[in-house]
Amino acid sequence: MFHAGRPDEAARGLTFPTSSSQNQDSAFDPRTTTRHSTSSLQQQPRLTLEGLSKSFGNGPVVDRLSLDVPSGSITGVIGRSGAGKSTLLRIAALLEPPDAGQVFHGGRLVSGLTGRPLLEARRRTGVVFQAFNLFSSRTAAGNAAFPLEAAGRPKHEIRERVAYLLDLVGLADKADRPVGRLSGGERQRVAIARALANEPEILFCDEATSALDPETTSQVLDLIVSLRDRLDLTVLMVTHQMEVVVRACDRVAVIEAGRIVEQGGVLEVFESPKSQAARRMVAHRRRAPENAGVQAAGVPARRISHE
Amino acid sequence: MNEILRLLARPLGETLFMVLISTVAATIMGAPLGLALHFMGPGGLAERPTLRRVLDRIVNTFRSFPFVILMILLFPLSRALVGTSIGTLAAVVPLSIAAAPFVARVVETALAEVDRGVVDAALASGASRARIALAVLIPEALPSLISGLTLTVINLIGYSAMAGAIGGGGLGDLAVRYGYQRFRTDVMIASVLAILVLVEGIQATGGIIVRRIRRMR
Repeated sequence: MFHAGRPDEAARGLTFPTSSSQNQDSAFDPRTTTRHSTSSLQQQPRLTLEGLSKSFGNGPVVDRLSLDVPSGSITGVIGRSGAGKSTLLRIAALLEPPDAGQVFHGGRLVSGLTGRPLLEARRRTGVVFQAFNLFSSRTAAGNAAFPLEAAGRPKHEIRERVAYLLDLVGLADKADRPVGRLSGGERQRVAIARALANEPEILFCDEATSALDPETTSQVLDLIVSLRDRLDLTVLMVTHQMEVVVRACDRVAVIEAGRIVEQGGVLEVFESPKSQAARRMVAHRRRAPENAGVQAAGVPARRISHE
Repeated sequence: MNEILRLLARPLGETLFMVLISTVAATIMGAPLGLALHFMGPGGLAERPTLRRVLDRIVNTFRSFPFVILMILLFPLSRALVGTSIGTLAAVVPLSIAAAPFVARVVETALAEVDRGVVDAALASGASRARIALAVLIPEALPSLISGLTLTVINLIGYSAMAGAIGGGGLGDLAVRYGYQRFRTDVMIASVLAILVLVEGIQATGGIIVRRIRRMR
């Protein structure tokens, strides 16, 4: 999947060369220094969840859940409401501590961190939310600038980086708009720019397209796929929509009652589902093709890559 | 008419002085308290249930004190801080202390209105709690904060009239000493009108600022 010295990597280095998070990591984690140089490391997951459990009052929401997200993949976690998707994502993105289990980002143990190391680990990931969660007091540019300000980057660097980010998501001409005056799709693009501000290794998407119409959903998903290709991202996408997985993901994990019940390549799982949860999902979609929102927009689904 | 205007000038200045200084002092004391109440609350970024209960009690206690009684109770403090318990400057002490818990509630309520998702986004960006407070919560809650601060100022105008009645100067003092004690109904009406205009003006200004901020978003 990866080759040493990808042109995109070089391009990214040129656009924003200073104190890249990857460089910082490599100073203390030898496993990441050779991430792109040997083929054996291509197999190493960028995100590993090990035996995660989390309860809120009445019973476990996430129950001894383990999941590997391969480096450079877009992995979908699909499940019904209440299956534990969002909790899983919040734990993986370090927004919520697990009751038990461990989270590894790029081979580094990050669960259980507190204080400064926790803030720094969060800066190496980005999160895109269903409701966008933009700062209404700021413009599009101000939103994209926020994580950079939080990381203490110098002003001129922030300005340059924000211009690059907004260009990346196709909003260069709307930099000075208050986010309240942007459309839903544009808002989610701003949120993506903000999530990518500190050059994260991992991008988390929590039902990122559920509040968007089918056409905008397609556009935002295509953007995420193209950003993954350009920026060497690993994406974990939590969704209840099969169409989202089919359109954007390489791999899929089916979550049910807080556990991963099935996982694999998208085609493999959806064409010959083994778990009851996956079979039910596929059957439901066959029964109700009009619900296939993304494809209803008339845009062909992207090819599914086999692992 | 001229005489009345001349009579009004100094007390009006005193009222403005009392209200301005005590608003600033109450904000300096109350805003951090409000932030603390918000952060320590359930689901907050620094949950401290016990400490929060204590702060909550203190705030409620000070808020439930009738101002006139608070003023008398605080005579010793005024004397210690400004050297006297009588006069405009001395009145600033009880005014500030009466308004501080009000400001704390105003800030707490305004911050509670900020969408939790926005705070999550700030957390996910790797922002510290201090940055979230200053660069996210306060700017996001600004319209509500300004509305609340407007209310605080108006309350303080009312309190300051009371403080005036027992030697604090200001429009309340004028109304009582000239209007009531010397049977000058015209002065009484004039001072009440002045207070009314002040309140209306501040309410309108606050409203305009809030609307302008909302429109810019």
